[in-house]
Parts: sequence; C-alpha cells; structure tokens
Amino acid sequence: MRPMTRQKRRIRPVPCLVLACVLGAAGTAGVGLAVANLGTANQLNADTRLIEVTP
Amino acid sequence: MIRRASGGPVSARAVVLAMLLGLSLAAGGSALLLWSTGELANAQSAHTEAVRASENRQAARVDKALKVAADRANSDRYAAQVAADAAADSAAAASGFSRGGEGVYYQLIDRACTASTCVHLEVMVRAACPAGVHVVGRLLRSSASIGAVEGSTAALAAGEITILELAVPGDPDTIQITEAHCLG
Repeated sequence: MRPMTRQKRRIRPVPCLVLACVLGAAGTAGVGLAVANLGTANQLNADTRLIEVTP
Repeated sequence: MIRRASGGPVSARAVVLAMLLGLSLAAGGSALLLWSTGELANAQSAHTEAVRASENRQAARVDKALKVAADRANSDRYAAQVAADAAADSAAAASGFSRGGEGVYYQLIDRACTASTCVHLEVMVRAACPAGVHVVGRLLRSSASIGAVEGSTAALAAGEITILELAVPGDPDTIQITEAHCLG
C-alpha cells in the first residue's frame, strides 16, 4: 500500500507564460494607444489655444 | 522545480512573476487608455467650441463691416442728396423762384388774365410730377385773411416750367402762397 501523501498542486508553466505574454502585449498596446491619444489631445489643445487668441 | 518540455527548468516563482508582470501591464495599460480617451474627448469638445466661437466672431465681424459700409453709403447718398437739393434751391432762388414743397419752386409773374382777377404763377419742378403740382394761396386784405385760392397744374416732367393761373375772388391786396407740392 502506497503511503498517503499530500499531492502538491503543480503549476503548468507553458499556458501561464502564454497568458502572461498575452496580458503584457495587451497592456503594451493599451499604453501605445494612450500615448497616441495624448498626442492628439495635445495637438488639439494647441490648436484650440491658437484659435482662441486669434482675433 | 518543474521542467519545461524542452527539459530546461522554469521556477514557479518566475512563472508567477511573469503573470504578475503581464497583469500589471494590462491593468496599467487599460487605465492609461481610459484616462487618455477622456482627455482626448475633452480636447475635442473644447476645440469644437473654440471653432464655433471663432466662426461666430467672424460672422459678427462681417456683419459689422457690412453695416458700417451700408451706413457710410447711406450717409454719402444722403449728403449727396442734400448737396443736390441745396444747389437746386440756390439755382432756383437765383432765377427768382421761391421754394414750395420738396423740389417744387414758384414765382409770381405779371401776365394778362383770362378771368377778371387772377394771379399767375410760374411753377418749376426738379423731378417729374406725374399728377401735377397743387398750389394753395391765402388772400389777404389789410393783413386780414379774406379767402383762399388753389389750383393744380397738369403733369410735369423733370425740370419742366409751366404757368398756372389762379382766379382770385374778392379784392385782396396780398396773395401768400402757402403750399406748392408735387402730387404723386
């Protein structure tokens, strides 16, 4: 009779790493889009100021 | 220690670390994206408002310029009209005419009457009077009014001079022309 041992839960490395990569890629894409948005917003703000000071 | 398919070891801590890194990147990226989208929407709204205000200012400026130009043109036209009226009045006065209504001039002349007692008026108009000129006079004797006379000419063209005979009742010593205006 085999002795009763507590079975340790094993981490499956490959799916976890794939998921981490996907999350990382999504986050990086989000940051890229955010930077693009901020650039556009800055440009618009500059245009707005120019329009406001034009008599 | 767990083993990769290729056989190399990958520590569980490294996997957890990679997951944490991925999660934080995703969360941070999402938050940043949300914030930047709000900023962009605000900037677009402010820009649209500024463009509209600018267009309104431009339209108001154009309206003002048009109004100023129209006022100036009207003023110029009025000044030219006043000058022309003054010149015509001076010319008529120089020829012995008195001014009646707008652009109507008259003078008393000596001429043989067709009736027993009459007065003759030479009537001149600056612009055409399609229905003629109507003249009203007051008859005075010793500064007292004893009656009135009136009469109308036929249609007159611009600058035309005609003679109007008014039959005078009674025996006035003075005739005052009180009205001489263009009809129509």
